[in-house]
Amino acid sequence: MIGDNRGLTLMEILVVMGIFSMTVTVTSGIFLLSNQAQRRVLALSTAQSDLRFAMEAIVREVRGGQIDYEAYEGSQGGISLPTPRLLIKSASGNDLEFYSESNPTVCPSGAYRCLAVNVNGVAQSLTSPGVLLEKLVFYVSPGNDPFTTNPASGLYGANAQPTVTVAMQIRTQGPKPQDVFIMNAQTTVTSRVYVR
Amino acid sequence: MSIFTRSPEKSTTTKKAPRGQSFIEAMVAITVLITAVSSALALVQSSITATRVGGAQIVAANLAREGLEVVRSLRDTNWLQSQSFQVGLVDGGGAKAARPLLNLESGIWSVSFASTALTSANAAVYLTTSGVFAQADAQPTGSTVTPYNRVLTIDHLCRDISTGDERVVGGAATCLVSEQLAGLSITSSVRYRAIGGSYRTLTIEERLYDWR
Repeated sequence: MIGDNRGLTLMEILVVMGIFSMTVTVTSGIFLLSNQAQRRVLALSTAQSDLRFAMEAIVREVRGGQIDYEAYEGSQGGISLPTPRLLIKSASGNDLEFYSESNPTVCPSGAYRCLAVNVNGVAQSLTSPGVLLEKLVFYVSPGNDPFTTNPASGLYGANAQPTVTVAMQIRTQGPKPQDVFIMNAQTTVTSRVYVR
Repeated sequence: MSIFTRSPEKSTTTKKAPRGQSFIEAMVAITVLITAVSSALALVQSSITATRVGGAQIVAANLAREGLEVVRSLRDTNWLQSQSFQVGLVDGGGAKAARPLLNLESGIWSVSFASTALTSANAAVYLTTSGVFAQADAQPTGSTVTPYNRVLTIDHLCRDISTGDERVVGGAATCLVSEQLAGLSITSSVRYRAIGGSYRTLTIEERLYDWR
């Protein structure tokens, strides 16, 4: 037999085991950390893409459509601000309502709130599962329709171009508190429809 | 007694004694290991940071667009009120830097030409308890400070009456006697504090004329 066949000393075994366990601990730590980071990045990017999608959907409808003043309750006295829902008569003639929905049959997150759009009476969610809508407010200006006249006075309801400010806050759902992110976003859009 | 080298008397039967690892070899191995570990950690950290910066960019882009839309809304409203398109959008004192302000009761936007700049304290955007981003001369009660600052620059677009040539007039200057105000060149800038404390600025620009 060639070489040394006297096996390993206890010291050698201990050193090898020590190095091995250290390496395993460090490696699994990194694995867990990157796994957690991956989950957080996923939650964040889902929230961001939902936010952007919902925002752009609202902006597009306000730009091309008209505010449905008739559908707002008590529109005689103007819309009370801030309003939780946005009623739009879209460019293609659909009746749209953007609002905060809590019905679990509409929301993909079940019991949690989502941003929904009701198109001609059919509601659907604009946000994905795992994304919760915390706040949603609209500032609609002017409070009365600037494009129809009051039959009594013969005057237009207002002399201002319809403008909507939309502000929302969404939250990601996570198994751990550090996976929860809150995002606020706001934008304003002016209608491109010039009636008079 | 060394752990890594065998005593010569144990391996007298072999021609070459296995000498184990030298100090240099061990150092090289440790350096390679540390480099691999730290680069993996840096990658994980930078992906989180990049995603967060992406989120701040979305918010900043929406706030910047808001600034442009407010000016458009005011111009369109001026038409409906049968007045000159630039009413409320051109400062009598020649200021071009402005802030869009939202009246939280009436929902009506206006533009304030009170002295401001992107780094000024009065350009700060606050977040109210109802989730609305608002700029104000004084911080609204109950609101929180956000990492965003916003300023509009409303420059004049002057058209030469005889030649029809158009130019953007910035600074404190206004149109010449031989020119007329044809429109406004609006720049909406949002500065935000990225993670790590550095500032980034997002700027968008639009030209609005006195015609639809």
